[in-house]
Amino acid sequence: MEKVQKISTAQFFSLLLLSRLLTTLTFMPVFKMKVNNLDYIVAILLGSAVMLLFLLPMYYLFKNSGGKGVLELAQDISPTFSKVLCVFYVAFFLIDAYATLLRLNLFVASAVFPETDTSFFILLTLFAVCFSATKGIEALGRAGSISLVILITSFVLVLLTMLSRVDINNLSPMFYDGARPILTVAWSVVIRTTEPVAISVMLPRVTGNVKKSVIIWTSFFAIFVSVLFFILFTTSGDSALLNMFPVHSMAMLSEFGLIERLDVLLTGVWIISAFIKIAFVIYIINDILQRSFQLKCKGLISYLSGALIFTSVMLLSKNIENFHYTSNVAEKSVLFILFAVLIPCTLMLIRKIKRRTTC
Amino acid sequence: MLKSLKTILKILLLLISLLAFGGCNSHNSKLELKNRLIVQGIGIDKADGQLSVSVQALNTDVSSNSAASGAPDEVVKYYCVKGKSVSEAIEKLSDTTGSDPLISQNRIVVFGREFAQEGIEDYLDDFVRTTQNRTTVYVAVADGSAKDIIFARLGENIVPARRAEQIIRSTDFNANVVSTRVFELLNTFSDGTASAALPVLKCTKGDKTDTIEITSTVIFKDERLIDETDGKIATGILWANDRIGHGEITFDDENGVTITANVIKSKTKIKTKIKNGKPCFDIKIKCSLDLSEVNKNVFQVMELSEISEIGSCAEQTIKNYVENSINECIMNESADVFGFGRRLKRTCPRYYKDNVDDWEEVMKACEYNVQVDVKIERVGGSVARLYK
Amino acid sequence: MFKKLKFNLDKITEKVESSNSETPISDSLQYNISYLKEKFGDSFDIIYKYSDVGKSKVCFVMADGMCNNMLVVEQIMRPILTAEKLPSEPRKMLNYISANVVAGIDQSETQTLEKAITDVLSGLVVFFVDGADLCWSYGVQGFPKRSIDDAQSEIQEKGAHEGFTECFKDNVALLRRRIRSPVLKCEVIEVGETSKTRVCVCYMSDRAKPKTVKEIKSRLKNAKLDMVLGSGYLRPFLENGEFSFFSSLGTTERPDIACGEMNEGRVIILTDGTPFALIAPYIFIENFQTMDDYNMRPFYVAFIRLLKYVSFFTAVFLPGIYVALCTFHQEVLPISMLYDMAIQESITPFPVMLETIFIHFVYEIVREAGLRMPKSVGHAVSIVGGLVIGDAAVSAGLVAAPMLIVVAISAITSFVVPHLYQSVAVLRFLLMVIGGFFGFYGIVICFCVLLVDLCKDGPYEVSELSPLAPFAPAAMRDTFMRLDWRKLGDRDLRIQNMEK
Repeated sequence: MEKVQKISTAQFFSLLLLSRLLTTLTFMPVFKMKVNNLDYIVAILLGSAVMLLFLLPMYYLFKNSGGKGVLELAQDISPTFSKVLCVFYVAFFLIDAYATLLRLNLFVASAVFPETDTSFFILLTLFAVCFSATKGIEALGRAGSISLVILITSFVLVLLTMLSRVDINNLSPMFYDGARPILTVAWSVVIRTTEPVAISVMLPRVTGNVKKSVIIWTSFFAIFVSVLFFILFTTSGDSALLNMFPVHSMAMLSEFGLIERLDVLLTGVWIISAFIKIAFVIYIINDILQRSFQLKCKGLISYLSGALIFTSVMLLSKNIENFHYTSNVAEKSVLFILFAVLIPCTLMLIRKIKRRTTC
Repeated sequence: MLKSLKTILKILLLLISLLAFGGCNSHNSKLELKNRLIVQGIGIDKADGQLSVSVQALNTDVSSNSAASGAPDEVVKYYCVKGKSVSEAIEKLSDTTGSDPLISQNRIVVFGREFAQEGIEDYLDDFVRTTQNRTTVYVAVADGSAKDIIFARLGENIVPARRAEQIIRSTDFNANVVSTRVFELLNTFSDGTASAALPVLKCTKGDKTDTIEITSTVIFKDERLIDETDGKIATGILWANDRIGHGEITFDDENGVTITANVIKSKTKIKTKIKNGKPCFDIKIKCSLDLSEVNKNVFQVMELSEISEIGSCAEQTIKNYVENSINECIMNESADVFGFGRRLKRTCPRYYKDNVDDWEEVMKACEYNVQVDVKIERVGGSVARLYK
Repeated sequence: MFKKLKFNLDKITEKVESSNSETPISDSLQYNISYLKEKFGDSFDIIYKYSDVGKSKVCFVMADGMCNNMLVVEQIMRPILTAEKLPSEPRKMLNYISANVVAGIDQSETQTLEKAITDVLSGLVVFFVDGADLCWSYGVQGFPKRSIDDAQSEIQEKGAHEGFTECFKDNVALLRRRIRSPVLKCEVIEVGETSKTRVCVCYMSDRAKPKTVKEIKSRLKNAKLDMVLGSGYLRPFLENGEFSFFSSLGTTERPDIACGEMNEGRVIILTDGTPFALIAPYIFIENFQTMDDYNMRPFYVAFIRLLKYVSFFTAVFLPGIYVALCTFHQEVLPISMLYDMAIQESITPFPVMLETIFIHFVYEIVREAGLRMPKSVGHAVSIVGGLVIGDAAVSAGLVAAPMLIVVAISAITSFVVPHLYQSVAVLRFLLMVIGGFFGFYGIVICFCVLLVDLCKDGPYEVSELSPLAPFAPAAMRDTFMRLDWRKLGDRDLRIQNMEK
């Protein structure tokens, strides 16, 4: 029997942090209402706190079930139910990988290779990602922890080069247009978090103090992104919000001596985090299918998932208007509430009922 | 069977990769350094209802005459193209050069005076939308047409755009030049109340070589050139905006002796408050000076009392600079180049929200208190009686 | 259809038949010697010396050239032929001779003819007595071997000037001299159906993981090989089997390094006939460690290690990044550098990527030629390589001068970490191609794949990127720098601790 691979909480949450940072760093300021720059910072802090609250059902379920994830608990209820749930989760992660790749495609096509067709770059990326996903969670976890260090170091370097341009007067006043913009952005921060769903299925693979790690993960994310946005808005002001990718535009302003346009360095680091995230998601798809259906063709599932995602991206990304499918707040909200809240709560309820009936 | 399937997949992948590389190659040859036109300066004028874009690019063609030395005859080449938009005009460069323009190494953007007076807001989109553009590029206005500046010939092996950029960057060590980059300009225009100040470049034609210099500063309001001011106003703007790094200030003391002092460091703080129902801006400037030249008998030892007098005169001079610039820009032209509106928005948002529509009138009625605190940190190398 | 895709190996090669049968020694001398003569055929170097000892016929069998003739005469032949009062029963006589007559210590009893054949071919003298169903082998090896010399591939400034040789017994002696403790174990395994090469597995029993030692011995025993002529033959059997640019086995030519590795819980595999020992398990960081690091002062070691890491990354990534910058990311380069490069590149006929690949290829040819050609003409290679290819190519406008600088830097830096040269040489080309087609971001993707590949577990449950991932703070004291020996020697640094 193949040994079950496990990783430490540090490695697991490094993967999740990379995944979350990627989503935030490639954010686009496309809200229907006008959002002032300081509102984003407040929204991030608020959103992080709300995200922590939404993790409670999952954590409670994990702790009380003796370290089981949602699929294991579903298996206890009924193998068929576990298989059906597995299919739903696979669909969710496929959508997540598709959305990430679509955003990466847009980012690469807008900022990196604006004059070229990015299809082959995306194909190369996906192939490399599928190959890496077959190496196992331990390899991904370790690579994730190193990539996180690289990402943070790069950003700190960029932020240090921008410090001389900080002007507090570029910040807008807090609550200038009321609380509604802040709440809208905060909710967006929460629902774009697909990490709670990853936690719910992958926790059985993790060893260590989960509670402490979750708090550190959320706090670090909140502080890091707040500082980043603070530097972004104090240096660029509202002109940052004219750009499709404001954080990238900030990197374009950074200079260090003779070296200008440090965005090349940052974009490389972004691609590392996108790589790790998509590899991680494809690994999860692979893992949960193997666990639920006892499949043995490990590599084939990864490559098939990759091929499916690539095909979807190529078919649906030709028209920029189709991009809204991945940004739609309503759809994201439904998916988030279903997978991060409803399913764990339902399982918790079923488990309680079962306990009472057996007692 | 699985092994055979894997073999087939690998062969397919190899074939696809070969096709991919074949497809990429034709594009890559276009991107090669030898096929790029390295743009160093862009000037924008309006002519015949279209934009006339002047471009200065590095000459990387090694001619047959200089093949032995390996260097081209002239270091820059000049082009003038027309188009409905900046992007269209720049794209037309490849019609004459056969090379793909590389804008990411551009050093300066110059707007022609007439073009600036008509308004530039509709033409700033290219700088945001085209990711090749660097928004850290310096912006200036030409005294006449931008073409004069871009087409200047300053001498062998001198790239005029780089020289112009250097001149604008001299704001780091002189107190007379206002410098603005594209992203700062965009930030200023995104705020409904602020105005921008840009340097004016003038090209003087010579027999063999031309000269580029900064002659004045212009004020932009609502993305339109509205006023031109002299160097003293520019100095006042720099002091008020805390943009003085280093530089020399010259003033006369009570006895009419001309003194020049070097600014070692300077800090400007502006406090905003509402006083008697109207905004009040307290501008506090603290700076340290080092005396460079005192135009009196060099054999006469400077006394301690003289030094404090010099300090007082310097304070008055700086205060005059700032007050004059406020008078000129705000009172006369209703152009908020100091960012007072933005400060008011940050500190008193409610008042700002109620009065933003009438900001032009409101800012004229505001109170501006300028307070300068000068420390004569050093007296240069000459002897002084530093004791009582 | 799928059958046609399989390469039909049966048509090209024949399967090696292994004979595992063992023939017991007969009490008939004639039968035994006939068997040996049948196996050895007409080999001129196998000598059969018949004689009479007591009332029995005896035969000495040896391989001429493998034995020390003086020892054969003094320790074996003379004592036996002049022995008196020997037991008459052949078996008892044989045992008596071995116990009381023959002078040497290295003696072993042999029950099978296959073992006897192996002993003869190993430089032992095999002694048969008519009527005894066993024989004795006496160790009097005297085959020609190289004396202990400097390790040619690992030159150290302050370390010892001894290197391993082709004789594994001498190599074991070099290890024993340095670790005079009974915990040092050296176990011999025969690998190779025909060559029967002796492979010695050395480890310190209180430090090496028993599971790892067992795994290694098992893999060696199960290695299906006919001939083992070098340690490289054993590599694939000791590794995971998946392709990777970076090996999970190390090699060393130095006994001091081998002892240092054993101290950290590794296993050293000495192969008879090769001066290169294999080290398992081996982590990536160790490629940057040398013996000199432990003999020099810590601040200098930190500097040198930093130099090595920078050199490695420069050697691998510089050509690819140069191609990527020239093709896709010209905005990163300072304008003065860009201008000079643009002028140089405008003269050359080839795209930057092809130019880079071409010049690196030529360099590899010159390097390989310099390695293989006789020393007497070695200087001609440097003249051809340096002047003709370098200078003339630039003058002719075939390559740009900045390109040559890149090649030169890449070439020099690749020799700073010689253990990784193979990986560096190939990766360089791969990254040049990727940089030329996909720019810096393609290089980043390649970096990610290499990183994930390095982060996987090696064949002995140790991550190749330890102690960076998983992060082991205690082990960082000997990674990017080396702490003072007062702290470094405070506790042991076993490889299994890196998992904690």
